Amino acid sequence: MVHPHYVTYQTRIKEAEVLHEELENITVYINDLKRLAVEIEENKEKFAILKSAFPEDHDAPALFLYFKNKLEEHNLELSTNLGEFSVESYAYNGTEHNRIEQTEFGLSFSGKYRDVKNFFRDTEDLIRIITVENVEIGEGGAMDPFAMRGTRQLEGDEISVVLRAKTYSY
Amino acid sequence: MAIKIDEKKKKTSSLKGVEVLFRFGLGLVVVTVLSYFFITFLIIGVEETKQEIRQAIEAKKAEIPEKPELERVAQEYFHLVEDFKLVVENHKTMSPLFSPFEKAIHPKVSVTSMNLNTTTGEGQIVGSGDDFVAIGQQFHALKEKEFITSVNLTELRLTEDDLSEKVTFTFSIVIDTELLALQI
Repeated sequence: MVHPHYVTYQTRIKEAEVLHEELENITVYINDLKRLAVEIEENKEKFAILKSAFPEDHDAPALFLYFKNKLEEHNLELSTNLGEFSVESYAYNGTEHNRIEQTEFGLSFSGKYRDVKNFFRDTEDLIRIITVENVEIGEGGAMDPFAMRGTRQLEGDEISVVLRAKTYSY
Repeated sequence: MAIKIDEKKKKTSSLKGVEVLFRFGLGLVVVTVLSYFFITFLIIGVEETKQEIRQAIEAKKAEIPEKPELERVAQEYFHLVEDFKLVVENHKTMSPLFSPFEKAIHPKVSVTSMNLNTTTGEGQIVGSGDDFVAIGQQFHALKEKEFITSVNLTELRLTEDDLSEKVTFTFSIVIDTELLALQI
């Protein structure tokens, strides 16, 4: 009579211990969540910047417009539209990351060497990440061929650039 | 007579034994019953504690009414930071390449074209020089640059234009892609 009752008591004790552990975990979790809420509020602007690095879709027209304007800004001439354009899941080291979509595109333009350099620097400052994967620089228009002799003869030379780049979205 | 006295003594002692046993049994029953009620009392106490803990858990959960939304936002930001880190770690920038390349080109050498794969670091430099000596010096200049891990002269030709003879070349190079890594 007493032993089964004692076993019941032991079981209840164990249940109480489990509940107590749950309470401790929930207390820690709720406190962490409160701290997180404060941190999210404090870093709202930074998160907004990160969010703009990954737009909700690849937004090809906006991307094209961006490059068109940037090239014009740097006195560079767009030779073609955004060449081949493909959207697929982001993959690195053979692993696909399904949350991120990567948009691959090609771009051809020509202009002065100095302006090309400035264009690259400018696009790197853009919050939307644009990774240049492959670049070909060659002879440009009717002027002197691209001459990379130190920095002395670069100013007036017209060069052409063909690049393949990637940008990312969700 | 003596036998009768012995039987009386025997009876008396066995009665005492039964009585002791009875009392022990009775004590045992009392202890058992008391233990039962004591354990019942403890169980009630534990049940009350459990109930209090359950209430405390509910109270804790109620401290953040917007918990599901907060969890969703936290999860979203967590993924955002994780994804940004992944992409940025594998991101390559072109601008750090120009200055070291310009410094690596021989004054008597003209580069007419070049290409580069930023992922593998493999590329080619095509150009022309005034003479073989300039091309040889160009080769050594590229080889000595820390950011170039490998350089091979894959093509060398003597060409003539309207004015003079030129030596055209193609260098296959591999650059250290760390140079192109985003500096944060």
